[in-house]
Amino acid sequence: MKKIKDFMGIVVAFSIITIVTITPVYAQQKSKLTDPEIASAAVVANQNDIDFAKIARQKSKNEEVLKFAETMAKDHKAVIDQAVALVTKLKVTPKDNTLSRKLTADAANTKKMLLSKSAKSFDKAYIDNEVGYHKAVIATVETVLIPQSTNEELKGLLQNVVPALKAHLEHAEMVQKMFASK
Amino acid sequence: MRRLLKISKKGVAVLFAITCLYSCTSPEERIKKNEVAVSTKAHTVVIQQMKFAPAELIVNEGDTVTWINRDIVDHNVTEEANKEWSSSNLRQGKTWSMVVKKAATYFCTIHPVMKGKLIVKQ
Ligand SMILES: [Cu+2]
Repeated sequence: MKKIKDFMGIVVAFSIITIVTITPVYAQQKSKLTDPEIASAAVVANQNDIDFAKIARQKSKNEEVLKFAETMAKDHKAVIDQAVALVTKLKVTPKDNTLSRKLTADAANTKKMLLSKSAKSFDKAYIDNEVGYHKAVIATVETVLIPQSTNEELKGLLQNVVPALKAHLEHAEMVQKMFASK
Repeated sequence: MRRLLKISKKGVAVLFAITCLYSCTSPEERIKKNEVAVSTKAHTVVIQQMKFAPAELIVNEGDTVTWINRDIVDHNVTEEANKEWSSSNLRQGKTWSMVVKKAATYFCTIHPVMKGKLIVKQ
């Protein structure tokens, strides 16, 4: 009986040591993205907003909303073009990862939500989502993508995108206020 | 020989007069005049990081202002109150120039949060 207890003690002790030593390595691998993964996440984040803008073009009749959507489609396409040009130059292939897959999955839900809206409630739903989406993307770019990118040109491109994202957020909030006052 | 001497005396006098004229204007004054002459004719506004820089520009009527897009996305420069004047969309690296006839506030129609101002000296 004592032997079993001792054996259990060793097992428990060994398990604790294993957990303590393995967890940090796992956590590090999980949080640190490689440059090809960052490039993939950046392209997906921009493509999502182009997709939202396409839905707005189909469903909205509001001039300010349509103008905003046009700007989103145009600017996010310009960012993707620059990202593609850079990865081509660096001979890097964007790589699918946990973050880019999450961005795609979340966007699929958003698109479903937007498509289900009536003509009357669409504009507000679209703009509210644009405000939230830009806030989330700015946070991801500033706290994850920029600090974790190792290539200086990739880092530089991401840093150059931030002012555009912030101007988009301000623009979205401007349109959002129009709906609030109506 | 006497005539030659006379001429060269005259020459020295002229040379002296020129030297005096030149040195009578202080260097500071000459620099000042030069600066004014250059800055009142051509101005540049750089469009970068979603801003016009400088956002406020003081000019004389008739001055030329050139906007250059150094950003990663397209921009334009459009008079805000009545769209009296507008550049077409400027791609990265492209410029657009205009002779200023009167004061104006302007913006970018693609990004209405981007604004600038031209102030005309009275
Ligand atoms: Cu603009």
